[in-house]
Amino acid sequence: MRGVNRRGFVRASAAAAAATFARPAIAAPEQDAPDSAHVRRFKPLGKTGWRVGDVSAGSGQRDPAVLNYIFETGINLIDTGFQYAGHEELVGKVLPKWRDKVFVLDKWDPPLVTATVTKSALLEALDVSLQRLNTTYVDCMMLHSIGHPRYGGLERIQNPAIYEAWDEAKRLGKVRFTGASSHGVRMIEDMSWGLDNNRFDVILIGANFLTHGAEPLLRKARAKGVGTIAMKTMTTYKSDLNIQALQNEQTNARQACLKWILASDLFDTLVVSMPNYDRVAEYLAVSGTTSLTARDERYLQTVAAAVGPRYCRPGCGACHGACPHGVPVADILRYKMYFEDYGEEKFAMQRYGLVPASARPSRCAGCAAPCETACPYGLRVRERLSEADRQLRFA
Amino acid sequence: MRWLAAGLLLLTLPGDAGLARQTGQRSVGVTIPYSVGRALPDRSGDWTRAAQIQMFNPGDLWEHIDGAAEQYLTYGFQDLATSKYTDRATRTVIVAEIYRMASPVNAFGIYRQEVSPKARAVPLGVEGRASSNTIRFWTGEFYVKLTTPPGGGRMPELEALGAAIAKGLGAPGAMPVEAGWFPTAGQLPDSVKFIPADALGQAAFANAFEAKYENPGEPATALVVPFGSDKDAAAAFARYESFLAKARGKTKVASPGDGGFSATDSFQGFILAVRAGSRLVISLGAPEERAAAIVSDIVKRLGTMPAGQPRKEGSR
Repeated sequence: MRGVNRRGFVRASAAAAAATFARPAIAAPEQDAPDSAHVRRFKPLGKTGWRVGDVSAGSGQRDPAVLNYIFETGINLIDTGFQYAGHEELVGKVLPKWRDKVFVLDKWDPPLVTATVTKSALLEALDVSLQRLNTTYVDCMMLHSIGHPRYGGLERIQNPAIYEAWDEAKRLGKVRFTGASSHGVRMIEDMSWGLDNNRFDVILIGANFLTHGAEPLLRKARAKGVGTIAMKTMTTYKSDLNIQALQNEQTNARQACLKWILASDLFDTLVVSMPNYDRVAEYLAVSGTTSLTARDERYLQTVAAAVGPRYCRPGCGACHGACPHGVPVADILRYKMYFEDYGEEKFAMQRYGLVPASARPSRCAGCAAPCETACPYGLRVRERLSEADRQLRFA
Repeated sequence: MRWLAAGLLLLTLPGDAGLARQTGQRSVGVTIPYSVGRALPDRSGDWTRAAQIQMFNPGDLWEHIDGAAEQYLTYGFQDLATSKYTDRATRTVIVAEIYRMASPVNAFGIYRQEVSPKARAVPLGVEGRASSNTIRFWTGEFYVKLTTPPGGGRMPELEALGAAIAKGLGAPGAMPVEAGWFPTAGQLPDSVKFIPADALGQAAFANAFEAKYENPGEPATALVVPFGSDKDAAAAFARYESFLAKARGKTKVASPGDGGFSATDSFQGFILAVRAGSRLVISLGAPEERAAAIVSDIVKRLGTMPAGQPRKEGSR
């Protein structure tokens, strides 16, 4: 990334951008950003009445000045949550100045929301978040990490206390819209339940150019006027692709990943971590994108070649239960990823050591590999399981 | 498969150098870093620990703290041991989490990032605080968090569990020496923070320390950003100066240290920034005279104090 300064680091034409701005109906920035880094396209967020920038801010800022700058650029949706390690408080330092211009998307602490949590506990937690955010209301209060077995099954989000709490919070003017976020293995099932039962105004899901399968869910959301937001847009859980083949082209590849979402008509906006001024400029440089170039496609191909063959997509889990021998396919492939990609050899081997011998890939010999049939991404699952067994077992 | 079904077996095996792992029919002694789980006692008062201790590493931390994992990684997260304690009579649950960070400075950093300075101080580890349903403290390279459901109360028992865990984690250590870089006069309590990356939103500013100072309106900030060499510091400083090119009243200053500039930014207020060898010293928000005094004092202290602990691999 080249040297930049806050007031001049994106060279895209400010004049052209200004001419094509679709100003938000509700949330137009009060003042122009001090440089050409600016949101260039606004879209309706479902039926909320808001028009939000196509690029929105995830967490990651550690300095309130950066967040203030983000809002100056026209970004008018901030994604935060109780669990985001001090991020609610940071938002609270800046929010008063921007309160009526910024859509605040907040989330309860995932472990709080259980099948037995009470309405009062949820409202109490909401009040804590409001205090941290230095505001009297949030625009959207979400259930965080639904579809994730760690926090419980569908019964978790079927708890009527959640909806009683939302209704009460809306009545009190503390919450305007409600929704849920997910990139868990049951993302589609749990999100579908919420949509079918008209529980959500906005959904935030893990999605990127390597993921498929959520399109019907997104179309359903569209049809119901539910806002759709993409996260995990870079494929990995970190907002740094760190792919050797990219060499010095990380920026272009990151931008291509964002552009893929921007070019889709299934998302109203995307959220991406913006920890510093450079990244704000980098991401806003692709705002307004409506199509991919051949160059973008090449970057995505490079990322796909590096990540795709071993990337278990968010919200998939199609292989769960597919193995007739009870091999925990997704778990073992994830241990392999820890070993290969994260340099966590010991940890991966330790995890693998806890897989019962009866559920190891030694059972794969001669198997018809229904796991491969189940995988919608065509991963060579059996081969990778065998590799994992060789890598992860103690010789 | 998240739960270590054999966790207790592994964690109670003898061996000071690490844990002997038993895997299927093979048994190989391997040193692994998860002995941290031993610090979770089986019982504490009426509370009994669950049979399983769950472990997370940088690759799957997001499954435990979805949304916050990247922040923890930036702070040098290494691994996490967590378990639940249940009071059989009331079925109340405590969630205990022990985060092992790359160094004591990183543990201090994530602790100070999460804790509210308004929370009540508790005598745990190097520093600890209790809010209505959570106790946080840091000790050595560990950051410990104990949580009960909102309204759960029973904080004395939570503190007792915290004390037992702290004991199991060994000597607590001491505050980072870098805290001594900042003059104490007018410094807000517990305001020194470690910022592993992107300090002031600058991609090049890593491993910085900051302190807050009394000031009319918003507190003022003093920041020290260390670099590997004078040359690296000078390059980053030039870029920061360029970043503030259009700030009002920009003026070169010849001292302290190797000199720098002052300017006024619409959000940060008056800024005084100087380079002192391989470090940048920056004051934000303090009035000019106060800023000059703070920066001069820091530069003087930097010249007489140790450089601080080198960051371990894995930290930023």
